[in-house]
Amino acid sequence: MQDKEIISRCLKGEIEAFEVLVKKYEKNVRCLAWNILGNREEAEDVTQETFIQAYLSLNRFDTKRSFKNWLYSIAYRRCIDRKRKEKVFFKYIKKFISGKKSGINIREKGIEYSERFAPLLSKLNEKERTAIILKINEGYSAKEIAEVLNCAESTARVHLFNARRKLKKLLEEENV
Amino acid sequence: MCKIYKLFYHLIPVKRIKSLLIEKHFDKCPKCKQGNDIDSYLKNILLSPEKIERKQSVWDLVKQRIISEEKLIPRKKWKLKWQWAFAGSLIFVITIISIGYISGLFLKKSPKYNQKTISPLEIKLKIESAKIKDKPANVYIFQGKNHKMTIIWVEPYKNTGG
Repeated sequence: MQDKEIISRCLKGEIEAFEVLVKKYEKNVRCLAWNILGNREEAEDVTQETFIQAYLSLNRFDTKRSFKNWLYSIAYRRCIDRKRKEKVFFKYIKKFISGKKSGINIREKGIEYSERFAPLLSKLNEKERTAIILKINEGYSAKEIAEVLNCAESTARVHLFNARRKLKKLLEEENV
Repeated sequence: MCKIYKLFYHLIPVKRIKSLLIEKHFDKCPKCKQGNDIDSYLKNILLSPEKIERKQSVWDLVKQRIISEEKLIPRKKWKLKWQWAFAGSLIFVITIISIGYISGLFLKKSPKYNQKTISPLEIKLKIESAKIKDKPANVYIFQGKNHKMTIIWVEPYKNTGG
């Protein structure tokens, strides 16, 4: 069943139909949130919030657009909101308590994931990070990235280029 | 990477031109492309959806919260409607009071206006008949010298025997 059919069923009040969409995209949304936030628990919260917000604003969804991109844009905004709140309230408290700079931490049990990449990602800003994640994981074009980031295609291309350039430089510094 | 283009890229602040540079040069030039090609390496180390393991779907939690949110929405709408109704009625009351006050100011002026324009001699008062409890009554009209005040006195009919 196509996304549009499921959406039209949801709009008729069939909440159960939304389960298909949740199960289809939850991994992708979680992955994006996890890569942006660098924290599994927060990524879980963002995943839930994204689907709830998506369901409640389904009537505003333009069916000409890709549902996946729309979900990604919601997830991205949620992540940015969280980051902003975290920056405001906990930046200095965290520094004071731990004595360390707040960074990204993606180390999790049971996941074969390079420990090296976490600090590398934290060197990028949220837009660059999102752009490179969407490019690498989803093979998105600059136009699709722009749709998620809600910016111009040219801006998305620049974010992607800068992300690649920064990562390349950082990897070279580490002699990879 | 071609140094001249790299320098040019850093110097230009406009993203649209930077994007053009990327499109026209960096993505096409073999030297620059090779210098920036780290996608295959990143693919191995980046967290991807396939690498995420989760036994339980978020659906149950999402469903619960959607149901509770949907329950809240009609209340919110009602609250909103109630607020609008209250605001509307308040505006209506204020408008009525304002109109009353403004028209009151004009009404106060109107007798003075009448006094000036209508001569006291023109005021004619004539009472043809008066009744108290369906019985004929006597009527007395008292008018001041300056005609500013007129008193009408009505009392039950008394046969004075005249």
